[in-house]
Amino acid sequence: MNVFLTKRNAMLPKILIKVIVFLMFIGFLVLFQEQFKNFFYSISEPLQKTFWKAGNSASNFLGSVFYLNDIIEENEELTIKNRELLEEVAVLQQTKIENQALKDIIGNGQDSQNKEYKLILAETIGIDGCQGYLLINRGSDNGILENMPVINAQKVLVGKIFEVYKNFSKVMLISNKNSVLDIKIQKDDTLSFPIYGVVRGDSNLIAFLDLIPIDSEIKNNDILITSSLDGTFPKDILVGKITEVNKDDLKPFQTAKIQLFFNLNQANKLFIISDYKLK
Amino acid sequence: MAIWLKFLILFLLFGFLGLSQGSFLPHFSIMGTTVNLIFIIFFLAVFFEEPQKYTQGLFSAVIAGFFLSVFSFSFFEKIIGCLIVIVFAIKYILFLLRKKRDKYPIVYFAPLFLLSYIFFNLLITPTCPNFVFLIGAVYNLVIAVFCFYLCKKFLIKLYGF
Repeated sequence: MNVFLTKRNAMLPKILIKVIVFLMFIGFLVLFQEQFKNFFYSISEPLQKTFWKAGNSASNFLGSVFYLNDIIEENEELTIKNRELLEEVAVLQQTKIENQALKDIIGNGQDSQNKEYKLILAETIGIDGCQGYLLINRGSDNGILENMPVINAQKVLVGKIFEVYKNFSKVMLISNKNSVLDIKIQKDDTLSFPIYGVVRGDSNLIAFLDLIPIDSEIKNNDILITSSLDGTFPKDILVGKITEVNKDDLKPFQTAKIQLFFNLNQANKLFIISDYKLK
Repeated sequence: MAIWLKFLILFLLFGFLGLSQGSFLPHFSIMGTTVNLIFIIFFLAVFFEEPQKYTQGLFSAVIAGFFLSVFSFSFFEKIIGCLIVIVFAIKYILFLLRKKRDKYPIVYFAPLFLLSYIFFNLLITPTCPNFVFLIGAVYNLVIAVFCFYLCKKFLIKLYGF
């Protein structure tokens, strides 16, 4: 019994030292978290880029094999839609010429709405879809600040800058659980009152529409665009479309399932709007 | 196998899995959920270690936690802390279960993995368990069971159990 106790007593300082060293190591990691992460992202960036491109190519290849019928159908639909849009473009071009001529007459040639934002190009090197974060290879050294809006090449909203490191930044996707975004529902009828609501993230690259007044008429395929009410995002940036409306007369607001236009395959190159707040 | 070699292999493996988890595997997600290979390997390292030993489990918790937080964009202390809790819980449960049998059966592995996965995910991403969460759990369990048999075969070849 005594021998056992002595052995246990002798082991105690050893265990204590191990625990203290372990806690110090964790404390060190926590204290220099930002520097550690930036360092690891820097050394792993070339590999991450290679992995990202390989994953993208592989998923595109597999997608084209598995969803061949869907692609053929989608292609046919898009061909028809493209024809309709070309007709619309022709009409709009004519209207634009007439509009410009009228502006020239009035003397107000500059159109402030057409001013482009200053964009910073970034590449995606990693994603955590479950939590709704993305890692890009631009950081504070490139002039990135928190809350700057992030869009893709198709001018579709991706999210906003959440955390900035020296050479990298973490983007909070609009599908993040903590993301709430003010939107406007684009209607064909320009005379009707605009409908405003919010898009809430639901993790796993999914989001839903909320806070739409119960008496508002919304339907499937209605397009959602940013409304700029909260001041973080510029207005009229594409967000997604409604796929299923949930209307309950007992509740003051209606909700809807939406399909985000942002998609992982178009996330290779992203753009950060760097001067929106300054305007 | 020498312990330093084992730890070096684990370190490199977690690093490689971290890279693929952050940049390669998200392209193969099912309803937005990706397989968490780091967590699966961490769990296997804990499960196949003797219940009365803790070195491999704790080492795996720290290194897996480190790479998970680097490539999953979360905080070090939160993930490492959560994994350490899982190590102690699994060791204790296995210690109670293996009093009668001295094997590594799948009937222990699958429920313990599922419980740990749910605990870990609910703590890291506080969310209501929904259908997508369930899909994620099943997806990870299937991969984990496959890895379990692979690991068992490898260990039988190496140590004969």
